[in-house]
Amino acid sequence: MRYFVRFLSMALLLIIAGSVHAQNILVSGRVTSKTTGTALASASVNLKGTNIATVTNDSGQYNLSLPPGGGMLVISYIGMATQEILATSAGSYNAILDDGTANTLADLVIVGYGSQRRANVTGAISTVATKELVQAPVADLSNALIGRVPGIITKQASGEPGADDARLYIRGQSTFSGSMEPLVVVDGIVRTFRDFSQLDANEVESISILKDASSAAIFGVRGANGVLLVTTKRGKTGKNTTSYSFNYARQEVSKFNDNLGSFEYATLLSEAQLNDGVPITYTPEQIEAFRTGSDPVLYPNTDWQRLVLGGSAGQMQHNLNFSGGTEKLKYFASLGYFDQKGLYSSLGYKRYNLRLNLDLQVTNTTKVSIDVSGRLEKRTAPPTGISQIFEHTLRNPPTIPAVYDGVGYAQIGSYTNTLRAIDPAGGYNRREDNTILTNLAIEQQIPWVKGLSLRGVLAYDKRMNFSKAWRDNVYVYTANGSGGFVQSNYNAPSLNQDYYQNHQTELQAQLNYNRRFGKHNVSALVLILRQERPVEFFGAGRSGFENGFFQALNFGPATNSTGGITETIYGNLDRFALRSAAGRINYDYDGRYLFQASLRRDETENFAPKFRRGYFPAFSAGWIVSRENFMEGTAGVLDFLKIKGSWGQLGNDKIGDELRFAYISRYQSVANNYAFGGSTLPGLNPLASNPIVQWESSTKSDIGFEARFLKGMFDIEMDFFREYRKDILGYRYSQIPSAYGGQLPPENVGAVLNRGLELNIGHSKSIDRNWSYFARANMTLVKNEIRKAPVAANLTDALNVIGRPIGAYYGYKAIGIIRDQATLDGYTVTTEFPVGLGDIMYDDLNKDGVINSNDRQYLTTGNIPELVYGISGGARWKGFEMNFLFQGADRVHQQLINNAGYAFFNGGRVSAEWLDRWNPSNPDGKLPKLSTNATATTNNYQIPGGPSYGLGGNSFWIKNAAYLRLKNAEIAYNFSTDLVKKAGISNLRVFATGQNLVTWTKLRNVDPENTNTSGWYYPVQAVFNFGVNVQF
Amino acid sequence: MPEPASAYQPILETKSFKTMRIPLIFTPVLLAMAVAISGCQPDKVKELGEPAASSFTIAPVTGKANTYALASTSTNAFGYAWDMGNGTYIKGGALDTAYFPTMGTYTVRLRAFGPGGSTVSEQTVTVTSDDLLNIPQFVLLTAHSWKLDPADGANAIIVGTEGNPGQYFGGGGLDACQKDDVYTFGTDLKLTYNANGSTFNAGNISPNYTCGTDRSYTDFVYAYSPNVPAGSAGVGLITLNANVPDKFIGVTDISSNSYRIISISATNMVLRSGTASQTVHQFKFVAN
Repeated sequence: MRYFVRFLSMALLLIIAGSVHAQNILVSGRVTSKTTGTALASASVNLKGTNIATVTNDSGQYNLSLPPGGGMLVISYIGMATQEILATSAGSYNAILDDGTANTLADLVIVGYGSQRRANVTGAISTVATKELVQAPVADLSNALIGRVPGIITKQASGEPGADDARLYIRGQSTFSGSMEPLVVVDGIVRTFRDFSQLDANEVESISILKDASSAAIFGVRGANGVLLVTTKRGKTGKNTTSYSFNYARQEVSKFNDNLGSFEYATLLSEAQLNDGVPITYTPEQIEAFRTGSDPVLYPNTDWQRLVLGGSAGQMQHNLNFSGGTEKLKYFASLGYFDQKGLYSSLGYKRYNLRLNLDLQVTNTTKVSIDVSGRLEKRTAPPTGISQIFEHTLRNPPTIPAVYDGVGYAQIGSYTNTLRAIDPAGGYNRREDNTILTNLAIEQQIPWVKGLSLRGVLAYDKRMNFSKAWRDNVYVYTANGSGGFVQSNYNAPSLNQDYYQNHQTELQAQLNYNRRFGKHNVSALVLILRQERPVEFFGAGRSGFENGFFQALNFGPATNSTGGITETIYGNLDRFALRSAAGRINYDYDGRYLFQASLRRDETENFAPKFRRGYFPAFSAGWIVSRENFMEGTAGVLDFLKIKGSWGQLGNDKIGDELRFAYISRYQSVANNYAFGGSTLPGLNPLASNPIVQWESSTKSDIGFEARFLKGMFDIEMDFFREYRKDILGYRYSQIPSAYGGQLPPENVGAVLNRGLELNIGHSKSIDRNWSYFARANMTLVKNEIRKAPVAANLTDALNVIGRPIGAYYGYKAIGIIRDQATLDGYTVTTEFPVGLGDIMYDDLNKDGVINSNDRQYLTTGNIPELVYGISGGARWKGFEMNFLFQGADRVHQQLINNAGYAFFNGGRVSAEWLDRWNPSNPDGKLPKLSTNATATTNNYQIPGGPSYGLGGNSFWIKNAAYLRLKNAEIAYNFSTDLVKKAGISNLRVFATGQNLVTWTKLRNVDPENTNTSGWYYPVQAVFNFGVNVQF
Repeated sequence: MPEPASAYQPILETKSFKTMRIPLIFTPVLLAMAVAISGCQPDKVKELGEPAASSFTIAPVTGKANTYALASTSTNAFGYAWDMGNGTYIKGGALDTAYFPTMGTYTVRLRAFGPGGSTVSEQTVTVTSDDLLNIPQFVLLTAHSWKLDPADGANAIIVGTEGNPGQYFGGGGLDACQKDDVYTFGTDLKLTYNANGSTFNAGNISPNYTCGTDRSYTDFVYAYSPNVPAGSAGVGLITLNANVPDKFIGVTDISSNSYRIISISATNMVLRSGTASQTVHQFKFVAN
């Protein structure tokens, strides 16, 4: 009450004071650059919290009329630090702006080896800001990009802690041989994908995604897959800020397979066995026992999925960071901790991120930056591989027990007990990744040439990975039928350890020139760099340990009991190097006509000396139509309109590790033994070389426009793009007779055309001080087509991959299920395997009355979507905030075979969709008749091989994998500053976020983003997170 | 310089207008979501349904020996597995036939399958006669004539106990008059023994253990059963309803005129006379 009275009297006083001086005040001043001392034209001067604003003229002067009492003037200029000056009375207020730090992300775009004003960008670049990144409660930053920006096709195929990165395809797939992994550049240095994906989101200022040639060509032979440019946070002049954030989340499997329990399993199994005419395992009495659950030892109902993956696992994150600085020294320091538990106790991931970014103004013209960051990752997993764990978790039927109470793990037949496989007593596979990334940069303004600066960078990165896999004995028991149990044999423990390290040294020298001559604005960059990365790896293993007390190699025997050597030692060595030079020129006339040209020269040691060099040019141009005089009539409606286009050439040298030094002839050990005088001996096989092998070369073009309407209320951005990638490596397998005996080397013979369109629209509005909201939608449509590939001359059109998409399915086209006798009588073709009622019919493509491999045909596109979209939105009311992100994909297919699709595959379980199988009482069933013989040598489950560069398929098992997902949702409250200021807190935010909350898809059982056709993967998880962020 | 929007409007009105605006703005998004949700969900899972209720009728087929017609009267069934009395279910039809070559009491079961599983019903049938021509051992027995195995070391005749048939006499060579004895089992259940001039006298006829009078007989009625007495070895039983040595098989001093077929093939047969409590005689026959 006391505060309320005080507030009321203050307010009253203000109103009275205001009415006394109720006349406008005039302020004026000059805005200059701190580094050059020159006047800044078109700098914006704005009265904080109002629309009262002006810009400076060519001599940097401004005049502004302020309402009575004045206020805080906000003076900003692109590429410079914003300054605030209090102006309460009429007079002169000059500002000297520092270009040491960026203004706001919204105006500045980080490009390769520099930055550009957003309005002047002529390439295709999307940016994701830190706010969106920290919103996603995920370990891996690649997952935070999903759905946020157009032009990225994503697949998150696994949710395994520490290995849950999304696969990113920038503007789709353009090669059927090389990797599509984008190039990652962190603070100007090319680094690994993990250096991006395992960053602490709180360290990141922005991520620029370079999609077209003009933006990425500066990265030459490595830029064809697009570039992720990561910029970390730096200190800013002004108040020192301490920020702490805490997140705690629970993760759980977003969707389990809809597996049937033991009663339904046994019922369907009996039907399948009846269909097959084989002895029926369970009597009606036994099936009834499964239903009643009266005897859990003999008639259990084991839900293997929930036993292994049920419940929820915690996830915790802390981040503490400090930033601030003076004119001379600016700093950003961050310490992050991330701890993600697995859904079973033997699985987990911990990460420590440390960063210190320092900027020192050594002299008036010399700036030194020192960035040091470190990352310590610790992953623990069971020694049994993930794929094996999930194969058996999916396969094991509910009718076998997991545990005999008071005895131990149960073992029935050949089924692997996955509960035992994940038991920490069975050992561990620990991996420790230590990464240190350093940058030292010196930037010197050349005083006697205005606008010229020289920059030298030394970057040294070191990566050390250590892994240790210990396998120990865990007994399993089998019931002997007379109430007792038989214990398994003892398996002596074994140990494997390996160590990997590499260090990368990069040296860069850059010459930057940036100057305005009247209406001509010129900037130029010349860059030379060299990079070297030696890699070393060593490992060893011993088995037959007597006990598990000392888990060290020296406690294990080198030989077995008969003296044969059983220890293993292995290792390898490699050394990568790159030498490059690049130049770029930007020119704009009057901020209306924009041009950019760049050229990069690369030399990479992976190719023969004569074929190492490549030149990668790019050009782009833009026209800011809205700045033309004739567009004045549209003012107030159309704020901004830019038309832009680009063309360029790039390379992709990620042609596969196995193709390293493909230009050198080598020998390879042969799996098939050679027969010599009655005994077989291992041999060597010569590997033919291709001395002229090179990288994939890509030609990209892009045309698009950007527009903003109604004072930024609406915006739209649209790009059409085209990429022709040639020199894709292919093998002429099918073009040489097999009598040749050997294998031809890979040749640069393939080509792919990739075309698409991106659309990004937005709407945002502040209704008043309390209410604001926004909605954004982005969409990417990409279609690729193989233009050239080594295919056999006699290949039928139905199987020809040329003219068809990468990774498409080819095979038998199912035309329905034989539902009645009349249909069976009418299906007169000769089939490879017996066919009867309830079986699948296939299209006899060549009408020869026989269904065989000659009837294989193109079926559908593959498992990388052609269409992806994201819809995000948010609203703010006073301190409340709500944000959401929907993300989806379409025109995507996934073939589900084995345990992901079939009933009783490999003696495995059956899922709920099989309740709708064909049988005489359900002739309209969606699935064929049940069979226990779900193998490739039966009519319904045959998957013929595909042509080279295509996937073999059976259209019956190829499903539409389109989906829509509520990827992220957030509710937050920002505590009013007044309230928390008393505690010395400048900002306090509490929030709840969720990831992968709801998914709509027609695809059953597996996650639509899963790429494992058998469904053997760690499921993607739903995450429910609560967090606090405090700033001091 | 544009003024803040609210400056020209009464505050109350503006507020109500604005609070309406936000849901309206999101209407297209919500609509799109609703469409996507309805069109993007897997079809409903079917229920398992009801099990079949098994029942059937069994009736003899006229004109076919030991054959019975089975007719399912089950409800809600589409699949049938029949147990024809031997404990094994074999996939069959709603209408099926059961055939029992030998006499006895059999329990026939039908496991009828419906969408929700199966149930079993059973019927008992009593078969009063054997259908010998469908009994494999009988077919082999009557296919041709038999004689004692004349080969040296064959030990065609041994004498002993059920547990050790060679316990008293381990066998030896046959006399010439034994080697030419021929036994012919007819499908009409008549046995003909042709001694070809002389029958070997065993220990019960004097002079002992030497070739004696021809004891041939023709078309003597014998009984055949596929079943041997419970607990004893054999795959068939031949019984001559006469006194020893008036009628006999093998030698004249067998303990019983009941002979078990221990094993039989197209060319070889082993017969054993006597029961577990008696002295047993075992004979090796070969095709004549």
